[in-house]
Amino acid sequence: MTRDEIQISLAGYLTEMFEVPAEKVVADAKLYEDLDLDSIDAVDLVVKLQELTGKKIKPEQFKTVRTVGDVVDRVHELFLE
Amino acid sequence: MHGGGVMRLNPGRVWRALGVGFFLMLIGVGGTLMAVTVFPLLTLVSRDPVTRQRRVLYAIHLAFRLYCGGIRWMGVASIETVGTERLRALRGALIVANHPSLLDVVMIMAATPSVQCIVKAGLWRHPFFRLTVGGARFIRNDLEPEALLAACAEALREGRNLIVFPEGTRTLPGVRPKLQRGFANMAIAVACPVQVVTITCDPPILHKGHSWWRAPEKRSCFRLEVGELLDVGQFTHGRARPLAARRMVAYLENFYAEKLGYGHAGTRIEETDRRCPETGRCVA
Repeated sequence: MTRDEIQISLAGYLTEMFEVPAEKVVADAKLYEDLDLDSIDAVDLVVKLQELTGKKIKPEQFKTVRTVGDVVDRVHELFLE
Repeated sequence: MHGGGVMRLNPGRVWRALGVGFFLMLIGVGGTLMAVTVFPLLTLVSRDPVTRQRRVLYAIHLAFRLYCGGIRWMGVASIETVGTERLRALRGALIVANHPSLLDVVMIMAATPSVQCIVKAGLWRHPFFRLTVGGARFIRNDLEPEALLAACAEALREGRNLIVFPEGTRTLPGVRPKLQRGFANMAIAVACPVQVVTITCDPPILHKGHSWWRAPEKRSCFRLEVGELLDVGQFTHGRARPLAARRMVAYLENFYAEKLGYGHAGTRIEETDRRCPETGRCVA
Protein backbone atom coordinates (compact mmCIF):
# COMPACT_ATOMS: atom_id res chain seq x y z
CA MET A 1 0.00 0.00 0.00
CA THR A 2 1.18 3.51 -0.76
CA ARG A 3 1.07 6.31 1.77
CA ASP A 4 -1.90 7.85 -0.01
CA GLU A 5 -3.84 4.61 0.10
CA ILE A 6 -3.06 4.21 3.77
CA GLN A 7 -4.21 7.76 4.47
CA ILE A 8 -7.50 7.08 2.63
CA SER A 9 -8.12 3.86 4.60
CA LEU A 10 -7.27 5.63 7.86
CA ALA A 11 -9.63 8.50 7.06
CA GLY A 12 -12.33 5.92 6.38
CA TYR A 13 -11.80 4.28 9.79
CA LEU A 14 -11.75 7.59 11.63
CA THR A 15 -15.02 8.80 10.12
CA GLU A 16 -16.72 5.43 10.42
CA MET A 17 -15.60 4.48 13.92
CA PHE A 18 -15.39 7.87 15.63
CA GLU A 19 -17.46 10.20 13.43
CA VAL A 20 -14.43 12.40 12.80
CA PRO A 21 -15.36 14.82 9.96
CA ALA A 22 -13.45 13.68 6.85
CA GLU A 23 -12.03 17.15 6.16
CA LYS A 24 -10.28 17.16 9.56
CA VAL A 25 -8.19 14.09 8.70
CA VAL A 26 -5.05 15.84 7.46
CA ALA A 27 -1.44 14.75 8.00
CA ASP A 28 -0.67 17.16 10.84
CA ALA A 29 -3.99 16.75 12.71
CA LYS A 30 -3.31 15.63 16.28
CA LEU A 31 -5.32 12.53 17.20
CA TYR A 32 -6.13 13.51 20.79
CA GLU A 33 -6.42 17.28 20.57
CA ASP A 34 -7.76 17.92 17.06
CA LEU A 35 -9.73 14.74 16.39
CA ASP A 36 -11.02 14.22 19.93
CA LEU A 37 -9.80 10.64 20.27
CA ASP A 38 -8.88 9.16 23.65
CA SER A 39 -6.62 6.30 24.72
CA ILE A 40 -9.44 3.74 24.42
CA ASP A 41 -10.20 4.91 20.88
CA ALA A 42 -6.48 4.51 20.12
CA VAL A 43 -6.66 0.86 21.19
CA ASP A 44 -9.68 0.30 18.91
CA LEU A 45 -7.85 2.00 16.05
CA VAL A 46 -4.79 -0.20 16.51
CA VAL A 47 -7.00 -3.30 16.32
CA LYS A 48 -8.40 -2.01 13.03
CA LEU A 49 -4.91 -1.27 11.68
CA GLN A 50 -3.82 -4.81 12.56
CA GLU A 51 -6.63 -6.09 10.36
CA LEU A 52 -5.49 -3.79 7.58
CA THR A 53 -1.83 -4.78 7.72
CA GLY A 54 -2.31 -8.36 8.80
CA LYS A 55 0.49 -7.77 11.30
CA LYS A 56 0.59 -7.59 15.07
CA ILE A 57 1.20 -4.06 16.32
CA LYS A 58 3.00 -3.76 19.62
CA PRO A 59 1.75 -1.01 21.98
CA GLU A 60 5.24 0.55 22.13
CA GLN A 61 5.19 1.05 18.35
CA PHE A 62 2.24 3.36 18.83
CA LYS A 63 3.39 5.14 22.01
CA THR A 64 5.00 8.01 20.12
CA VAL A 65 2.19 8.46 17.61
CA ARG A 66 0.66 11.93 17.83
CA THR A 67 -0.72 12.87 14.43
CA VAL A 68 -2.49 11.33 11.46
CA GLY A 69 0.83 11.54 9.57
CA ASP A 70 2.56 9.52 12.34
CA VAL A 71 -0.04 6.76 11.98
CA VAL A 72 0.44 6.66 8.21
CA ASP A 73 4.23 6.44 8.72
CA ARG A 74 3.95 3.54 11.20
CA VAL A 75 1.54 1.60 9.00
CA HIS A 76 3.75 2.22 5.98
CA GLU A 77 6.76 0.84 7.90
CA LEU A 78 4.71 -2.25 8.78
CA PHE A 79 3.99 -2.89 5.12
CA LEU A 80 7.70 -2.55 4.31
CA GLU A 81 8.77 -5.00 7.02
CA MET B 1 -27.32 41.65 59.88
CA HIS B 2 -25.68 39.76 57.03
CA GLY B 3 -23.72 40.94 54.03
CA GLY B 4 -21.42 43.89 54.37
CA GLY B 5 -17.76 43.50 55.27
CA VAL B 6 -15.29 41.30 53.50
CA MET B 7 -14.44 38.23 55.61
CA ARG B 8 -16.44 39.40 58.62
CA LEU B 9 -15.70 37.16 61.52
CA ASN B 10 -18.45 35.72 63.64
CA PRO B 11 -18.35 32.71 65.95
CA GLY B 12 -20.27 30.48 63.53
CA ARG B 13 -17.86 31.23 60.77
CA VAL B 14 -14.77 30.59 62.87
CA TRP B 15 -16.35 27.33 64.08
CA ARG B 16 -17.02 26.17 60.52
CA ALA B 17 -13.51 27.09 59.34
CA LEU B 18 -11.95 25.15 62.21
CA GLY B 19 -14.39 22.32 61.59
CA VAL B 20 -13.42 22.04 57.94
CA GLY B 21 -9.74 22.03 58.95
CA PHE B 22 -10.41 19.37 61.56
CA PHE B 23 -12.28 17.09 59.16
CA LEU B 24 -9.60 17.47 56.50
CA MET B 25 -7.01 16.45 59.07
CA LEU B 26 -9.22 13.57 60.18
CA ILE B 27 -9.06 12.02 56.70
CA GLY B 28 -5.29 11.70 57.09
CA VAL B 29 -5.17 10.87 60.80
CA GLY B 30 -8.28 8.65 60.84
CA GLY B 31 -7.24 6.95 57.63
CA THR B 32 -3.80 6.23 59.07
CA LEU B 33 -5.24 4.98 62.38
CA MET B 34 -7.57 2.62 60.54
CA ALA B 35 -4.73 1.55 58.27
CA VAL B 36 -2.66 0.42 61.27
CA THR B 37 -5.51 -1.09 63.33
CA VAL B 38 -8.74 -2.09 61.58
CA PHE B 39 -7.33 -3.08 58.20
CA PRO B 40 -4.44 -5.27 59.45
CA LEU B 41 -6.95 -6.94 61.79
CA LEU B 42 -9.34 -7.59 58.92
CA THR B 43 -6.42 -8.91 56.87
CA LEU B 44 -5.53 -11.29 59.70
CA VAL B 45 -9.01 -12.66 60.27
CA SER B 46 -9.95 -12.95 56.60
CA ARG B 47 -7.45 -15.03 54.64
CA ASP B 48 -9.66 -15.26 51.60
CA PRO B 49 -9.07 -12.12 49.48
CA VAL B 50 -12.74 -11.89 48.46
CA THR B 51 -13.98 -11.96 52.07
CA ARG B 52 -11.21 -9.56 53.06
CA GLN B 53 -12.21 -7.16 50.33
CA ARG B 54 -15.89 -7.29 51.31
CA ARG B 55 -15.02 -6.51 54.92
CA VAL B 56 -12.54 -3.76 54.08
CA LEU B 57 -15.08 -2.08 51.77
CA TYR B 58 -17.73 -2.29 54.46
CA ALA B 59 -15.36 -0.80 57.05
CA ILE B 60 -14.60 2.10 54.71
CA HIS B 61 -18.34 2.59 54.15
CA LEU B 62 -19.03 2.69 57.90
CA ALA B 63 -16.09 5.02 58.55
CA PHE B 64 -17.34 7.47 55.93
CA ARG B 65 -20.89 7.31 57.29
CA LEU B 66 -19.54 8.22 60.68
CA TYR B 67 -17.47 10.97 59.09
CA CYS B 68 -20.47 12.52 57.31
CA GLY B 69 -22.50 12.19 60.50
CA GLY B 70 -19.78 14.06 62.36
CA ILE B 71 -19.74 16.90 59.86
CA ARG B 72 -23.50 17.28 60.20
CA TRP B 73 -23.60 16.87 63.95
CA MET B 74 -20.90 19.47 64.54
CA GLY B 75 -22.66 21.90 62.24
CA VAL B 76 -19.66 22.27 59.93
CA ALA B 77 -21.91 21.78 56.89
CA SER B 78 -25.27 20.28 56.20
CA ILE B 79 -25.52 17.24 53.98
CA GLU B 80 -28.77 16.50 52.21
CA THR B 81 -29.40 13.30 50.36
CA VAL B 82 -32.12 12.56 47.83
CA GLY B 83 -32.77 8.99 46.72
CA THR B 84 -29.70 7.48 48.40
CA GLU B 85 -31.72 4.42 49.47
CA ARG B 86 -31.29 3.36 45.83
CA LEU B 87 -27.49 3.41 46.28
CA ARG B 88 -27.81 1.00 49.21
CA ALA B 89 -29.44 -1.61 46.98
CA LEU B 90 -27.26 -0.95 43.93
CA ARG B 91 -25.12 -3.84 42.60
CA GLY B 92 -22.71 -3.96 39.69
CA ALA B 93 -23.35 -0.43 38.50
CA LEU B 94 -21.06 2.33 37.42
CA ILE B 95 -21.77 5.38 39.57
CA VAL B 96 -20.99 8.62 37.74
CA ALA B 97 -21.09 11.99 39.45
CA ASN B 98 -20.04 15.54 38.87
CA HIS B 99 -17.13 16.58 41.06
CA PRO B 100 -17.49 19.93 42.82
CA SER B 101 -15.71 19.09 46.09
CA LEU B 102 -13.33 16.94 48.10
CA LEU B 103 -16.27 15.45 49.97
CA ASP B 104 -17.90 13.89 46.87
CA VAL B 105 -16.28 10.48 47.06
CA VAL B 106 -16.77 10.40 50.84
CA MET B 107 -20.51 11.11 50.54
CA ILE B 108 -21.01 8.51 47.81
CA MET B 109 -19.08 5.83 49.72
CA ALA B 110 -21.01 6.68 52.87
CA ALA B 111 -24.24 5.99 50.98
CA THR B 112 -23.10 2.87 49.10
CA PRO B 113 -22.06 -0.27 51.02
CA SER B 114 -20.13 -2.01 48.27
CA VAL B 115 -18.24 0.41 46.12
CA GLN B 116 -14.78 0.55 44.63
CA CYS B 117 -12.90 3.37 43.04
CA ILE B 118 -9.90 4.04 40.88
CA VAL B 119 -7.15 5.67 42.93
CA LYS B 120 -3.68 7.12 42.53
CA ALA B 121 -1.06 4.42 42.08
CA GLY B 122 1.21 6.26 44.54
CA LEU B 123 -0.94 5.04 47.44
CA TRP B 124 0.34 1.48 46.91
CA ARG B 125 3.78 2.74 47.99
CA HIS B 126 2.40 4.54 51.05
CA PRO B 127 3.49 2.74 54.25
CA PHE B 128 -0.01 2.79 55.79
CA PHE B 129 -2.56 3.30 53.01
CA ARG B 130 -1.03 0.35 51.13
CA LEU B 131 -3.09 -2.06 53.23
CA THR B 132 -6.27 -0.07 52.76
CA VAL B 133 -6.13 0.28 48.98
CA GLY B 134 -4.71 -3.22 48.60
CA GLY B 135 -7.26 -4.86 50.90
CA ALA B 136 -10.12 -3.00 49.24
CA ARG B 137 -8.65 -4.03 45.88
CA PHE B 138 -9.09 -0.52 44.61
CA ILE B 139 -8.04 -0.08 41.01
CA ARG B 140 -4.73 1.62 40.23
CA ASN B 141 -4.85 4.55 37.85
CA ASP B 142 -1.51 3.68 36.23
CA LEU B 143 -2.76 0.54 34.48
CA GLU B 144 -2.72 0.36 30.69
CA PRO B 145 -6.17 1.07 29.17
CA GLU B 146 -6.93 -2.63 28.52
CA ALA B 147 -5.84 -3.73 31.98
CA LEU B 148 -7.79 -0.89 33.62
CA LEU B 149 -10.94 -1.87 31.70
CA ALA B 150 -10.45 -5.51 32.69
CA ALA B 151 -10.03 -4.63 36.39
CA CYS B 152 -13.15 -2.45 36.34
CA ALA B 153 -15.12 -5.08 34.44
CA GLU B 154 -14.20 -7.69 37.05
CA ALA B 155 -15.41 -5.50 39.92
CA LEU B 156 -18.69 -4.74 38.14
CA ARG B 157 -19.38 -8.34 37.10
CA GLU B 158 -18.79 -9.49 40.67
CA GLY B 159 -21.55 -7.11 41.76
CA ARG B 160 -19.53 -4.30 43.29
CA ASN B 161 -20.23 -0.75 42.21
CA LEU B 162 -17.58 1.53 40.82
CA ILE B 163 -17.36 5.30 41.21
CA VAL B 164 -16.05 7.36 38.33
CA PHE B 165 -15.93 11.13 38.05
CA PRO B 166 -16.05 11.72 34.30
CA GLU B 167 -14.92 15.32 34.84
CA GLY B 168 -11.53 13.82 35.65
CA THR B 169 -10.74 16.27 38.41
CA ARG B 170 -12.57 18.63 40.74
CA THR B 171 -14.23 21.48 38.91
CA LEU B 172 -14.55 25.14 39.69
CA PRO B 173 -18.02 26.39 40.63
CA GLY B 174 -19.93 27.54 37.56
CA VAL B 175 -17.46 26.14 35.03
CA ARG B 176 -18.96 23.74 32.52
CA PRO B 177 -16.56 20.82 32.26
CA LYS B 178 -15.91 18.48 29.38
CA LEU B 179 -16.54 14.84 30.29
CA GLN B 180 -13.98 12.12 29.58
CA ARG B 181 -15.36 9.14 27.67
CA GLY B 182 -13.64 6.35 29.58
CA PHE B 183 -16.62 5.64 31.85
CA ALA B 184 -18.98 5.32 28.86
CA ASN B 185 -16.65 2.97 27.01
CA MET B 186 -16.41 0.90 30.18
CA ALA B 187 -20.17 0.77 30.79
CA ILE B 188 -20.84 -0.23 27.19
CA ALA B 189 -18.07 -2.85 27.11
CA VAL B 190 -19.31 -4.42 30.35
CA ALA B 191 -23.02 -3.73 29.61
CA CYS B 192 -23.58 -2.51 33.16
CA PRO B 193 -26.12 0.08 34.29
CA VAL B 194 -24.96 3.64 34.92
CA GLN B 195 -26.22 5.39 38.03
CA VAL B 196 -26.22 9.17 37.62
CA VAL B 197 -25.52 11.25 40.73
CA THR B 198 -25.58 15.04 41.02
CA ILE B 199 -23.65 16.80 43.76
CA THR B 200 -23.90 20.46 44.67
CA CYS B 201 -22.39 22.52 47.45
CA ASP B 202 -23.74 25.95 48.22
CA PRO B 203 -21.98 28.19 49.14
CA PRO B 204 -19.09 26.27 47.60
CA ILE B 205 -16.32 24.93 49.84
CA LEU B 206 -13.62 22.28 49.35
CA HIS B 207 -13.63 22.92 45.62
CA LYS B 208 -10.45 23.17 43.60
CA GLY B 209 -8.27 25.95 44.95
CA HIS B 210 -10.39 26.53 48.07
CA SER B 211 -8.46 27.15 51.27
CA TRP B 212 -10.07 25.39 54.22
CA TRP B 213 -9.93 28.41 56.54
CA ARG B 214 -12.05 30.54 54.20
CA ALA B 215 -15.46 29.68 55.57
CA PRO B 216 -18.35 31.36 53.76
CA GLU B 217 -20.70 33.56 55.74
CA LYS B 218 -23.47 30.99 55.51
CA ARG B 219 -23.17 27.32 56.40
CA SER B 220 -22.54 25.25 53.27
CA CYS B 221 -25.14 22.77 52.16
CA PHE B 222 -23.92 19.66 50.36
CA ARG B 223 -26.57 17.90 48.37
CA LEU B 224 -26.26 14.41 46.92
CA GLU B 225 -29.05 13.57 44.52
CA VAL B 226 -29.37 10.10 43.06
CA GLY B 227 -30.79 10.41 39.56
CA GLU B 228 -31.60 8.16 36.68
CA LEU B 229 -30.27 4.60 36.33
CA LEU B 230 -29.21 4.54 32.68
CA ASP B 231 -29.41 1.40 30.60
CA VAL B 232 -26.56 1.36 28.08
CA GLY B 233 -28.95 -0.23 25.55
CA GLN B 234 -30.53 3.16 24.96
CA PHE B 235 -27.23 4.43 23.52
CA THR B 236 -26.04 1.39 21.61
CA HIS B 237 -28.95 0.47 19.28
CA GLY B 238 -26.58 -1.53 17.11
CA ARG B 239 -23.92 1.20 17.17
CA ALA B 240 -20.30 0.21 17.75
CA ARG B 241 -18.92 1.02 21.20
CA PRO B 242 -16.92 4.18 20.29
CA LEU B 243 -19.99 5.85 18.81
CA ALA B 244 -22.35 4.68 21.53
CA ALA B 245 -19.90 6.06 24.12
CA ARG B 246 -19.99 9.46 22.40
CA ARG B 247 -23.81 9.43 22.53
CA MET B 248 -23.80 8.60 26.21
CA VAL B 249 -21.29 11.33 27.03
CA ALA B 250 -23.29 13.90 25.05
CA TYR B 251 -26.42 12.86 26.96
CA LEU B 252 -24.75 13.32 30.34
CA GLU B 253 -23.12 16.61 29.36
CA ASN B 254 -26.56 17.96 28.51
CA PHE B 255 -28.05 16.51 31.67
CA TYR B 256 -25.49 18.19 33.94
CA ALA B 257 -25.60 21.44 32.00
CA GLU B 258 -29.34 21.63 32.54
CA LYS B 259 -29.28 20.35 36.10
CA LEU B 260 -26.50 22.64 37.28
CA GLY B 261 -27.64 25.58 35.19
CA TYR B 262 -24.36 26.21 33.40
CA GLY B 263 -24.59 29.00 30.94
CA HIS B 264 -27.78 30.52 32.27
CA ALA B 265 -27.46 33.59 34.43
CA GLY B 266 -29.41 32.74 37.55
CA THR B 267 -28.73 34.91 40.56
CA ARG B 268 -27.05 33.33 43.50
CA ILE B 269 -30.15 33.71 45.68
CA GLU B 270 -32.45 31.98 43.21
CA GLU B 271 -30.01 29.11 42.98
CA THR B 272 -29.89 28.84 46.74
CA ASP B 273 -33.67 28.76 46.91
CA ARG B 274 -33.81 26.05 44.31
CA ARG B 275 -31.20 23.86 45.93
CA CYS B 276 -32.28 24.01 49.53
CA PRO B 277 -35.87 23.02 50.21
CA GLU B 278 -38.12 24.88 52.61
CA THR B 279 -36.99 22.85 55.60
CA GLY B 280 -34.55 25.59 56.44
CA ARG B 281 -31.97 23.02 57.42
CA CYS B 282 -29.43 24.66 55.18
CA VAL B 283 -29.82 28.12 56.55
CA ALA B 284 -27.09 28.89 59.03
